[in-house]
Amino acid sequence: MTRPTAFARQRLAPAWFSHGIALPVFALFASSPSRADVVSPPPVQLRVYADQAATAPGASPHLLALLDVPDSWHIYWQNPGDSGQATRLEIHSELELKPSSPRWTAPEERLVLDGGVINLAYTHQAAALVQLQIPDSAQGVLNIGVEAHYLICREACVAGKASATLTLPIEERAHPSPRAALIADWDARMPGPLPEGTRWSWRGDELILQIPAAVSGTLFPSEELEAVMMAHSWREEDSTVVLDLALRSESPRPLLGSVLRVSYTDGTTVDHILDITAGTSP
Amino acid sequence: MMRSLCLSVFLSLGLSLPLSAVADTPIESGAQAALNEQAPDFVLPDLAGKPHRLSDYRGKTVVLEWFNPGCPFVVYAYEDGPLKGMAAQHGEEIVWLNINSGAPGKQGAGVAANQKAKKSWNISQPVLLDESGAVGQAYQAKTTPQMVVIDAKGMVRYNGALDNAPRGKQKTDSYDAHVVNAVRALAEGQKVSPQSTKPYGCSVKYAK
Repeated sequence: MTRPTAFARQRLAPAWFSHGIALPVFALFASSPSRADVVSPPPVQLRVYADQAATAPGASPHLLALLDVPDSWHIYWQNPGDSGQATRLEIHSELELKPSSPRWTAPEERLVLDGGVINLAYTHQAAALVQLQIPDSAQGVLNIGVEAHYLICREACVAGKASATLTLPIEERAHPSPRAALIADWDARMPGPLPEGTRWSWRGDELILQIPAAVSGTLFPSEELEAVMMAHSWREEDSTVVLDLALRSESPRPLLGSVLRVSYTDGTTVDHILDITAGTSP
Repeated sequence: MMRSLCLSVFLSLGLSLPLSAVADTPIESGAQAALNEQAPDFVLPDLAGKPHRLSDYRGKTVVLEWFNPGCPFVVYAYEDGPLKGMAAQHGEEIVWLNINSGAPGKQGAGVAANQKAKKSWNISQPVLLDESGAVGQAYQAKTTPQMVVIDAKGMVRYNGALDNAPRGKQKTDSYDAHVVNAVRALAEGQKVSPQSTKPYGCSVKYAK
């Protein structure tokens, strides 16, 4: 395991950034009962890029889907939390492209709504990376249609769909796209491995993770983990942060898709994948 | 305190309550529903202002359905999904109560929006308004739809999702109609399983 490079790290936008814009708009909306049932959020903008300008038979280009969320609204991570619905990507083509499961960026915020309802949400931008497999027999032009299906909420919720298309010539050899660097940048921002030096142990059904050079952490549990998680807590110990995660004993299968957001002593914040199988190293 | 006391006296004497009293104190303060325990009693008005008291339905299975006619999950469930006619199909042995815990001014709240939905979706069961959100909070209602099934003895036997298919998208290979299964199990004298699932849908639009 290696610790992500400085390039891979991101400083996350502080929570007040979105709310500073959102509050005045929201206050107007919420104060008018007659308008409450007339809900029409600005659309989520979907942009799609490939890391190849021209693809080739047998090539495996990556697609990046960027979803820009309108100010003061939010869409949902793969575990939406107490309410909401996971954002979903569909890829269409006349060719059988066997797209990989999308890798999504971690949620930007843990929102606590009126009544204590908790949402794991994207409030500015969500990104997903998908790898395609170009058939060996492909020729001519590759047309790709991408649809993002989402539930967008502020005070009210509306189901929506954003679409984008991409056309790539199919040549004898693949050529990199000018967007390849952008896609590599987003690839580095995706949740990655736990840092080198992470120590872990099991005490019965409790997982104890000790992350070096860290000051704090946030757990974004997958729905699988949430279903068997009894409690979790963070504590500081000898220049590390320790996550204590108590699971129900009937959870032997792998629990995939959770994310740990860790803030380090050098001021960076990094998202890590936390896939758990009882008794083994995450 | 005095208002709670008055409500208790009214309830214990089996008297019908004036609507203002119903709206102010629909449920005992601090009451919390729990599986396999007595369902906290409540009194809520329907869209015509008629109060409905949960304990009046003792002897029958009661289904509580958290409702918001503006929520896309609810719209789907009534227009294309499983809630279309579901309550009516269960007949008179089942009491089905829709509860809207939305605060005034929020999406799907208020008499007019709910009357409109009741008419256009042919909803025969009462839609109760819980504008303070007290009943929703007591039953840990987080989403619309969220379902609670109470047996004839007044015990909470199920709390969770309508099914395993939010807006028609199944989460597993097989379709699980959690609420229908729970009601059927009770009718057959069987144990309800599962008793709890993660509810899905829009957040309940509680007051601040």
